Amino acid sequence: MRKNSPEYKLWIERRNKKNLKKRTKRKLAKKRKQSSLSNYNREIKKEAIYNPKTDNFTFTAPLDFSIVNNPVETTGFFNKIIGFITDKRNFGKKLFIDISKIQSLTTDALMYLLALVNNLSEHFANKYHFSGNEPTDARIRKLFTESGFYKFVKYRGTEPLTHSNDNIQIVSGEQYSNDFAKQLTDYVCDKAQTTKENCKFLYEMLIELMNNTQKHAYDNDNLLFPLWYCFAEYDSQSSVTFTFMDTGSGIPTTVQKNFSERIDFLKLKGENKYVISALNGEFRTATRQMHRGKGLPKIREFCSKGVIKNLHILTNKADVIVRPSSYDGKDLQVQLRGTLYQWEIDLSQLKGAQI
Amino acid sequence: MILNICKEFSDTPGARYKNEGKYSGEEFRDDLLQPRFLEAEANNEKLVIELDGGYGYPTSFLEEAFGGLARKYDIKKVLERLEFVSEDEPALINEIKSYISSARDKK
Repeated sequence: MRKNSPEYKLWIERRNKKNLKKRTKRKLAKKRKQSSLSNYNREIKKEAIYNPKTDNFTFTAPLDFSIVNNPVETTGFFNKIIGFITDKRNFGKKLFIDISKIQSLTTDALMYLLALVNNLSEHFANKYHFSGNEPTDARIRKLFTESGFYKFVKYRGTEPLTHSNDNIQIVSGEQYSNDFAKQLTDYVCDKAQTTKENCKFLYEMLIELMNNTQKHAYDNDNLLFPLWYCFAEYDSQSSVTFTFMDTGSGIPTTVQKNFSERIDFLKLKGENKYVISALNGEFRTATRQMHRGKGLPKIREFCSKGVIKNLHILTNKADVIVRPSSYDGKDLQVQLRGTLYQWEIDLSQLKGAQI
Repeated sequence: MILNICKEFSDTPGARYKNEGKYSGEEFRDDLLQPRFLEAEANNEKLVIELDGGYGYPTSFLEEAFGGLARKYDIKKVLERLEFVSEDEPALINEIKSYISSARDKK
């Protein structure tokens, strides 16, 4: 091809067009990458405060650090951490959990924190370094220390750890534990000064809840291993409060749904309805076997009989309080990953109680 | 023939299947209940199940043990052959009988 010939000019034109296309494409990709990076940095700043001195991303817990009493803020706080952890761009970063300023605390929040710190699945485990501090308020720090939190994480403090005889420290497990259910039943019998025959309901309930962790609690994106956590506390009003949590998909996600419920993308039905339905013994078992799914109705029966009181269930967006003959159900704005049960046993009401 | 669950099996029964943990309903059924049931059948005698003495019976344990037996053999046969004794919790007897009567696999 001769230089300056019409064919040569055409070829040059075609080549220039092609190169321009390539350059524009490269430029756009670069711009996109930069904007996603700046978006990411902006997102991170919203979620956590970066401390360049310690190279930590600090997450500050809400003042009322309790899922049961302050579900929106506390669950929102945990969801921020989950959002951070599940973003692969954050792998290798250090997280600092700041609970120093909290003004009230319940053990459900500590259990959830433990689950996030301690039982991340192998996909996420060892990808992050967690550290944190203690509440500064002496009363809350006592509860924090006595909860058994330090059985699960490294303690670098100088104060000796204390243990109260009025509680059973947080215990965690994968499968149901006959021994732990027995220990808790004996603990209640001992506090009420009654025999185990009068506390059978508690043993049965604990085994069902622990076993549900395995059957229904698998996490969809494998962030957390399906484990259960349990804590019991005796208070001066002669009642024992139990907090039980599993870190799986939650009841509304795992129950069997009919066709209209499956296509209810706008969640018009409300997630609390699924929990109430499962408690009422309507055919909701994910196994689709008629003889299964009797555990939750049995627990409901214990509420109706009055042997357990103030049963509060928080699972996904559902927030249900079980009354002896009714329910208080609502949906939260935030989603809790897992299921939290809290209930009380009035020791003076137990058969044969001598208190 | 007598089968005392608390003395011969465990006072802390577990949940449904063997792979879920210790002292499950499946374990009880396979290791104790079913052999005794067959023995009672062969001798044409009642199998008396003593329920007292334990920490409690989770529903999944009872359903898998007794409902599972009824799914394997006949519901009527199981109801006729088994007799239950519970002084601590008499309502438990009807509960177990309801699991046997409604022992079906699918919806």
